[in-house]
This record gives sequence, C-alpha cells and structure tokens, in this order.
Amino acid sequence: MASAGSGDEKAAAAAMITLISSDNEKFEVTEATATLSQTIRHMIEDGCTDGGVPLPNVTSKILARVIEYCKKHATAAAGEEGSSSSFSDAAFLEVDRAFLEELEEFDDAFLEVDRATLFDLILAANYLDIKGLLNLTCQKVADSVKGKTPEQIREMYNIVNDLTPEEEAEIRRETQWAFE
Amino acid sequence: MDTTPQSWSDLSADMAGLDLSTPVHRRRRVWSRCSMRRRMLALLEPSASPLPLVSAHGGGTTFMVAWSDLPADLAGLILGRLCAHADRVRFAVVCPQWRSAARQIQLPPLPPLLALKVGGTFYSMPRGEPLRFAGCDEHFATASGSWLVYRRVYCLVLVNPFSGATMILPDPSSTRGSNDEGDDSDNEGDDSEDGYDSSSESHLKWIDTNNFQVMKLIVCSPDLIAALFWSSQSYRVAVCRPGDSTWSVAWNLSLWITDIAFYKGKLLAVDYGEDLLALDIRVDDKTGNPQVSQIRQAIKINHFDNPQTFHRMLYLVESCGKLLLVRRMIFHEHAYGRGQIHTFDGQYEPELVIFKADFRRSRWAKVTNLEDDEALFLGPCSRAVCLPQHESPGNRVWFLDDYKDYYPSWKWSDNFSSDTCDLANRKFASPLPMISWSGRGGPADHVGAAWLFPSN
Repeated sequence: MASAGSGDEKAAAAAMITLISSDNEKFEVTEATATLSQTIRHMIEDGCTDGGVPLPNVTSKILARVIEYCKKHATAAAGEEGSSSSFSDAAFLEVDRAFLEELEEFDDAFLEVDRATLFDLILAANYLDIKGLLNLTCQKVADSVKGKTPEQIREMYNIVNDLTPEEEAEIRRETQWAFE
Repeated sequence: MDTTPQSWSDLSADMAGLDLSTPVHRRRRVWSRCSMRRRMLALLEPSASPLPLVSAHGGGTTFMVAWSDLPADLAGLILGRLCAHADRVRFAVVCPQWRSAARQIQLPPLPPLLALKVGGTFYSMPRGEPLRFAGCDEHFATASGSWLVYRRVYCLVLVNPFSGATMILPDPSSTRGSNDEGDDSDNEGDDSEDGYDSSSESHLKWIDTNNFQVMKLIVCSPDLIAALFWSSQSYRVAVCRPGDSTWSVAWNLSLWITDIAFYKGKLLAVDYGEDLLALDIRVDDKTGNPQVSQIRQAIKINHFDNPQTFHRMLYLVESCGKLLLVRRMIFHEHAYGRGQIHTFDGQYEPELVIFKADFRRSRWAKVTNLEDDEALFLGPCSRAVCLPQHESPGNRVWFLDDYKDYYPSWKWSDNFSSDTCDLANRKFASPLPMISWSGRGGPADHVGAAWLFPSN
C-alpha cells in the first residue's frame, strides 16, 4: 500500500502533509484532506507537521479508510467554494443536491465494513477529531442496535455478558417493560 | 496483520492522565507547542499491558476488539442517537461498561410513548414499536407525565410503569365542596349540610359527582394533585393530596374548563371561551387538605365557534418557560373514523393556531414558530419535548384524536366510515397510520389514547 493521497494534487504540492500510521506506513495527503481532522488542523496551524505527522494510534489499514473518507468529503467542501480548504456546515449546505446524493451513497458504501473495522473507525475518528466520520460511524452502530434485545446486541458485537446475576436481576426489575 | 490485538479503548488508563476518549481539540490549550503535540501523540501509543479481549469472527478473519470497552463518551454518542426509550434501556444493559456509560451521560430528552387506553398497548415513538408493561394491561382512564391513572373500586391508582412506583388517590365520586366555608366535612359529594347550596344545586352536584370521569390529572407536587373531571353535564376542577379520602371540587368555577396546567407554581385552567383562569390553592391549617380558594381571570377572550366547526380542542402546554395555548379546530368532515396520531409541521390556520400567554396585556399572542427542535405532544397530558438529532424533526405538533374522548358513543352518528375521511388535502400527516384506536366511546368506556412521558 503506497501513498494514498499522492495522485491528483500536483499543483498543491506545497500543501501536502505526510501522515504516518502506527505500522510506519506513510500517506501523503493534501492539506484540505488532512484538515478535516481537527487534531491535524491544530498541528498544521502550529507548524508541527515537518517530517510527517505520526499517528501511533491508527494502523495503515484504518488510516487508508479514514483518508478515503476525508478526501471525498474535502472535495465536497471545496467543490463549490473553490479555494476553501475547510469543510464547514455552511459550505456543505451550498453544495448542489446531486453531489449530496453522491456523498450519501459514498457514506453508505463506506460503512459496509465488518464490526472490527467499524470499531477502529470510531476510535480513529474520535482520536483525529473528525466530526463527520464520528457521527457517521456512531449512527451506524445506533441503527444496528435499534429494536434489538440486549442478547442480540451482545451476539452482534461479540460482547460477553459479565453482569453479575444480582445486577442482571436488578436491571430486569427496573426495566422489565423493555423486554416484554 | 489483522490478527494484531487492537483494543485502544484500554489505553486511557495509563496514559499519563490523558483520557484517550477526549477529543484532542478539547485539550488544545494544554498541548499548544509542537514538542508537546508530538509527545502527546507518542504517549497515546498502544501500551503492552494485557487487555481483556473478545475474539470475534468476521469474514473468516479473526479480529480482536472489545466493544464493551468502547470509551464511555463514545458509547454515549451512540446511546444519544437512540431515540426510542426501549432501545436506550436495552443498550444500557448489554454490559456493565455500557451501563455505566449510560449513567454518566446527559442524554437528550426522549419522545413520549403512545399509550392506548384499551388493553394496555404502548408504542415507542417515533417508529411505533409496540411495547408491553407487565401488569399494565388493564384499561386506564388517563395518563399524567410518567403515570398511568387507573380507576379501581373506591379509588384511583397511579402507576409509573417505568419505575413501578404507585400512588393512591380518592375516587372522583368522593368529593367535598370547595366553597368559601372551606371545611365541608361531607365526603360523599352531598353538600346539603354546608348551608351554601339550595337543594336543587345540591342534587345536581350529587348527580355530577356520581358520574365524574377523570379526563386529566396533574401531579403538581408531592402534596398536590389537580384533576379535571367530566360528567355528562359539566367539567370540574378538583384538587387533593395523596392520602386524602376526598377531592376538593371548585364548584364555583366555569363549567366549560377544557384543560388545566401547572405553570410556575400556579394551577391554571382554560375554558372553552379561551379565557385563562388562575386558581389559588389554600392548604387547610388543621387538616393539610388543599382546596381552590380563589379564582382570578388572567386572560379574557370569550371566543365563539363558527358553524363549520365540530369542536375546538384547546391545550395548555409549557414550552421554554412560556405558557402556550394550542387551538385545534375539528371540522365536521374530520370528526369520524378511528382515532390516530396526526402531526402538523408548523402552523396551519384555521386548523391549528398556537398562542403565547401575554400576562401583562392579558391576552393570547399568536406564535408563528416553535423553538427549533421542539415538538409539542398534545393530549390528555401535554408537553413540549426538545428532539435534537431525532428522526422526527422538531417544530412539529403531535395530536391524538382526543376530542373523540369527549363524546360518548351515543352522540356519534352511525355513518362514520373509514380512516380516510378526506384528509388528503389537509396539511397534516398521519405518521403512524398502522396505529389506530376506536373513535367511538367516551370517557367512561376508556377509549382513546394518551402520551406517556418517560422520566429521563
């Protein structure tokens, strides 16, 4: 897996940022893509990105997915605004409808991942402070547990029920109605 | 490479006091220099400490993640996106970690449950998922906040199905007067001894009392319950204290009270003329029993119907510290069919008009918009609920067809037909058309529906 973001932005070469995954893989991305992450934005603002940004919490596999998300959404933000390098709600509203629909399709396809990847994406989105990605991934989990019993949720997410029998009984008493 | 253990969630504990789950920008001021930033990123490197891992199988590859170790604030983000009460409760009992996350987090308010008076069927809003509460399958008379109100022999029983708490109140037919004398001792609704009533008035009261049905009930405080009773002749406001043996009825109040509210410590009532009355409550020094001691007119309107109107439903509801009056016009062509939920997006005159109480000028001021994200749920118990991020947008008014509750079955014409009574051209929607209830009956038959508001 080579530098994921190095293809199409020759003109903006000056504004390229190198991200380094936990397994030491380097990803070169545009500043517009990188600054979807508030964490990286603050590093750029402080001029802390020389020699690359090490992200010891994110594996190359997950970082590649995160960058894929950021590139798509950075394009969405820049599409209408031209030179803008940030993704803001205001800019988002101005993007035309067709593009929004395309973005939705992208998001849906993006979320077609196994549960372990989803877990890592949530942690990475939180760590890198990418609001859109965090909302998207948390919503995916929320949607998947709607209408499910605790047992079904445990099975779905491979969670061992280590509530003590007392706790379990207490909960049952408190919330009996939700299980009928 | 996927076999590498990945359980970032456990990192937070030993990372020099850094909580991984806190987004980095919130710590920005502390870590403002490059060296600090790099140190921080390095500090967040996965530790080698043994981690409780759960093995999961996805697509033939073994992944090692522990969903139960999702940091509490992230579990909270997911939980906050669940807008059905049942979903939240079930999420919170999956494992101890999620349970504790659910307890730590301030969650957005929940929409109410829809409760059908017949048979104890409940539906979780906004999707209409049916629910049952153990022991709550009897018909109930009305609902108030989180309480269901059951009429039993010689008493009213309030049950909070979420907590299991109960409260016992006197039966509506056990009344005492609340005239100026204040201390009528009779508790069987016959006020002949108090010297205030002529015998015919006394007789009418007796008839009323014996026919009283509970339309609305408000738990104002642990010591004060207010109720709106209905008999075939009139509406009456009554108050009591839990544990009392009788209700104190405000006999000298308008017969046409249509809703009551407890607003900023005051009991308020609106009558069919849209006049707003403030009811002062006095607590008897000796007995501790509450009674209505004085009635003052806060807003005077004297509104009258036009002939096309079948009925006008008036609701008092508090929203963002303001008292609102919502008027829904029911036209003749709507008045048949089964009861359903109807929603309005914003105001549509003449069907729906919302007013705000302007106490200084003693008038109702028309409101053009609700607060963002705010939805009004109106019925036997009405509340405003702020619903951010929910599937159902706010700025919306939810009605139950509770005007039907006020007409006993013999008042309904027989030609009522289907659900479709020409609503297509109207500007309101039926969001859950599969849920409906009998439109014929009356308070005594316990038909109709109510909103039940879970305590968060």
